[in-house]
Amino acid sequence: MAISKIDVAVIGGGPAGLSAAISAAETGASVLLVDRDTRLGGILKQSVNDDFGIVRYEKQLTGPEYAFNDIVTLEKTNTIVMLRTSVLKIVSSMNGFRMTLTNSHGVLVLESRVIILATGCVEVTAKQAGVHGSKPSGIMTAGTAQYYMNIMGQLPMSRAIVLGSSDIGMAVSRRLSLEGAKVLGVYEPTSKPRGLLRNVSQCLYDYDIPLHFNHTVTRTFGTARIHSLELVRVDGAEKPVKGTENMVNCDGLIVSMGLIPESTLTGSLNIPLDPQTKGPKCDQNYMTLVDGIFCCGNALHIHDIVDYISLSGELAGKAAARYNHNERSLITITKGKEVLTVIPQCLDISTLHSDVIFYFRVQHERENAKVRLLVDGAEIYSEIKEIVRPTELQCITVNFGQNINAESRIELRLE
Amino acid sequence: MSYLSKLNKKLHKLYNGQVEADIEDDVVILTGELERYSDVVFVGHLAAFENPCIGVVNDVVCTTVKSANIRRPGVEDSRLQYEEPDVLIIGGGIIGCAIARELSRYRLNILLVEKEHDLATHASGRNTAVVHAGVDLKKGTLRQKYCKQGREMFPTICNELGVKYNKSGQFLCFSKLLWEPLMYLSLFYWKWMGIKNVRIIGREELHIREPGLNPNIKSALYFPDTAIVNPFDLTIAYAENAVQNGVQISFDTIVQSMTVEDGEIVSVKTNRGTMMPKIVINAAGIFSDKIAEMAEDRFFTIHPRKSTLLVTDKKDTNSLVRSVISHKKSIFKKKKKKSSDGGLVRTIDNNALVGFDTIETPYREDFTTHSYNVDSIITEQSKVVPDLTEDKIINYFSGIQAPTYEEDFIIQHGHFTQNIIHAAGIQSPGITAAPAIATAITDMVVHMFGGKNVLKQNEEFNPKRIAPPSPKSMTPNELKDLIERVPEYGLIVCPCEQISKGEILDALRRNVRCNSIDGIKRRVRSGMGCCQGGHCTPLVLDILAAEKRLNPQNVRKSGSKSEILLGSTKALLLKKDVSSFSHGDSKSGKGTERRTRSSAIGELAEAIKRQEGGGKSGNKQN
Repeated sequence: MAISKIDVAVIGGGPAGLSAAISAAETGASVLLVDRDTRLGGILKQSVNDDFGIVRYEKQLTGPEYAFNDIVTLEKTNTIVMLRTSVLKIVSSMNGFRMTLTNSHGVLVLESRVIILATGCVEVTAKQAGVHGSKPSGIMTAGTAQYYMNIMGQLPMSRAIVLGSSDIGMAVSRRLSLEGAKVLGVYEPTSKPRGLLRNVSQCLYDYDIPLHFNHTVTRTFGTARIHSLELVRVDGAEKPVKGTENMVNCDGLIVSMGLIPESTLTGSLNIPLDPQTKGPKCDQNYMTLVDGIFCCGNALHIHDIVDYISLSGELAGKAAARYNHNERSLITITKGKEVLTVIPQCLDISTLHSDVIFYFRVQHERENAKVRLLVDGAEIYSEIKEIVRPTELQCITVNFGQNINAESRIELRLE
Repeated sequence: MSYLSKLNKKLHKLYNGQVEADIEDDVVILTGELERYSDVVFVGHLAAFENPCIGVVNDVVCTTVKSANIRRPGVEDSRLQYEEPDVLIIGGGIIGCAIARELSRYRLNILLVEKEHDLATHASGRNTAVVHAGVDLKKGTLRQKYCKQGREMFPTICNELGVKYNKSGQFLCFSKLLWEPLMYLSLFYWKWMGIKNVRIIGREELHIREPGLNPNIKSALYFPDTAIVNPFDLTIAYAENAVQNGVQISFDTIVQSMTVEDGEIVSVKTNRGTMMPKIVINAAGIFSDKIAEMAEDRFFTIHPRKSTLLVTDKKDTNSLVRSVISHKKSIFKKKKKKSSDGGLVRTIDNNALVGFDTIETPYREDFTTHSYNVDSIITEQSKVVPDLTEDKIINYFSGIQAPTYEEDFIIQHGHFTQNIIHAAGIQSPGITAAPAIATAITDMVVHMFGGKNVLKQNEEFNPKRIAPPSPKSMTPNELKDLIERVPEYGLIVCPCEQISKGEILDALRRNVRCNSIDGIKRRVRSGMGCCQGGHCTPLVLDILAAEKRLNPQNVRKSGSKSEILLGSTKALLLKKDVSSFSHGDSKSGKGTERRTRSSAIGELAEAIKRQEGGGKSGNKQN
């Protein structure tokens, strides 16, 4: 292969990686996009429900359609795409990073000035969700079940229990119902749906799938294939209440307890992570605390809808293409009352030229919440949100103007 | 007073005549009924204490325990009918496989039977993976003897079999400061025990080498000879080398009964036919007492001891443990606890194993875990390694050891039946002892066939197993060459563990059968990373189906009836045998879907309220 030096290497060809590659290439960088699969699109390929694109295209698209739009745009740029290719190793080098890639043609070592991690996320597993008992077949995460049905055309179960009400779990419940399986119920350990209300209505209510709050699955039974499981009521601290155990016969358990940013590469690069988002800490350009490594999409933090993932890729791609090894001047955003997570966690004053979009999650559901952004105690942004929920990613756009310097203290708070 | 009357007096006092001891053919037999299982175990140990006879058979029934059926293979055929192996080895764990390999040095017809679908599915694959220095053992026991011998054989064996092995060392810490002066005294004890190189390590060095340790721990005993190995790898490597040298392995094969005439096993009945072996080797682990009973050679009882272990994410291991950390409350052994007090092990593949929570259980194959196991292990071990928290745990598993009431290995000929050799009662340090046990059993077999002068050597014996390629330990150039030869080595299937399609195909094509998702996982680690197979299971399933020419719905996770998929979605819809379609057909479902798309948030919230209130709402739309 001819390439040995490039400006921007994008790892991951899902929605974040596609946008990042497009915007980096359109900004004038030479871009390489690496993906492990045979086709671009990432998880969108298996998301056949038409829940995508409302913000970005004002249209309801299926996952493959949404990805197709980006793939067409990408093909118009001169991005080099390597499919069925994996990154074995990244080490820093003189002018950036040295990556070792592998595919069926061999091993490729190349230099890249910057790297954009768009590696997506992994699902919380049954074990992380505290499901004990034997380890029979028939227990899987929602994404895996979705792959079986939508990519392989195979039905993984006929009587399913779903643990956790995140969006993908609800979408899979609907899909299972459409394929003729019976979803006995969705059991959510907290008292609120984990995913979007839209999905509660369209995926569960419309299909007569009951949603039970304050319940969890504690044990599974069956040595070869799961034949039953134990459901139990949980208290406010999500601890099982004794005496409320209930055995249910089923032949499958789907775990849909949320997503965690993929961290295999971030771990090997020693990128500092945010303990709350579990993704890298970053500045407003989505550069991580390691100079030259950018991160976007669900690899950075978990988004509710794909449109915002594309947006983050676009931003990271543009910034990565423009990055010129300048020293950053970082200040950390203080999370005020009720704010659980905020992205970006830092601001780089030296490149703060335009509006900054903050994404944040709140700790508790609140009505008429006043979102305030303070610089050295002075309010430079405020907005009243009708309702904020921990499950919904909040978004505000702030113009800092000249109000900020390297010693400023920035606080995002909710009142 | 004789042993028996003393024992009976004690039993009478404790259990009021519910349990009685008797001696038959120099074996102590306990009979009766007890309510609590812990009492059943207790009387067994009581009878074994200062026992002048050859063993204790505990037939006391626990009235509160429902007996569980043994897991049986799903096949029934006559594949092995009228086979006449020279040696029949029962059990495909580390012991059985090691024996098979050592025996293959001789010109013998050797058959190994395993009731499960794969090797190392019981205790051999469910342990701490430590090659022990022999810290906890009593001098004069077989456990100590074979542990010492086995440990010394390990570097050579692992080299021959191409198995990763690392002498990582072990730190033994004590939670009470009180014991510190005694540590110095204990050095003499360890030396007397034959444990070389042990020394005391001071605070500074200790915390440099194990930065995860609680700063309050001021010193530790250091055993440099403790090592780690991958027990799946070792068991499978032993078996593959055995097969390379002519041994046959039959999976899904369970021994059902034996015919014994004049103190000799004449035939062995299995689900795959009846065989006439010359010699039977009992390496049946947790069922070794049942095999002994079938062979009319009953002089011991196995009491299952279950431990739970936690596995942490690789990226967190450095902050927890760099080698092996164990800790004890006291230098002196407590009588009740038979196992050590737990600790952390950095495995050869860089996960940390954290354990353990040990209990006696009547269930021999109950590998389930419970949330209280995890809680108690984290509570206990986080005192030693404060960074240990629940969110670092990616997996947990249980293993069941197979101790006798004498709490020692049984490595010997049958007492009443001549042509059986027991390699039974294997508990910790079973992995460490395996190479030495295999050699000892082989010597016994050779002797039975007339000695080394009579029994012919297998001239084609090759001690070197052809190990699978390991792309991860290759330089880029080596990897390039490998991919040029086999392109699949360049395609990563399991990104968490960086496992390529080539490695999976190799596992499926090796000389010991591998035909399940778990089998592949055991061999190449696909699915052992932080996403626990979420990404790679469907891909591995596809590869397995293509390679073995199976329909995807016939691919199994482990043994029989563990299929993952039910069949093609559309085919199932046509057959209508999935469920009763009681919740409306797909057409009306789509209709409502379209309708509610335009719904406002307020209406959705109301919908949820209705869901919450009514459970299964009767207010059907349309």
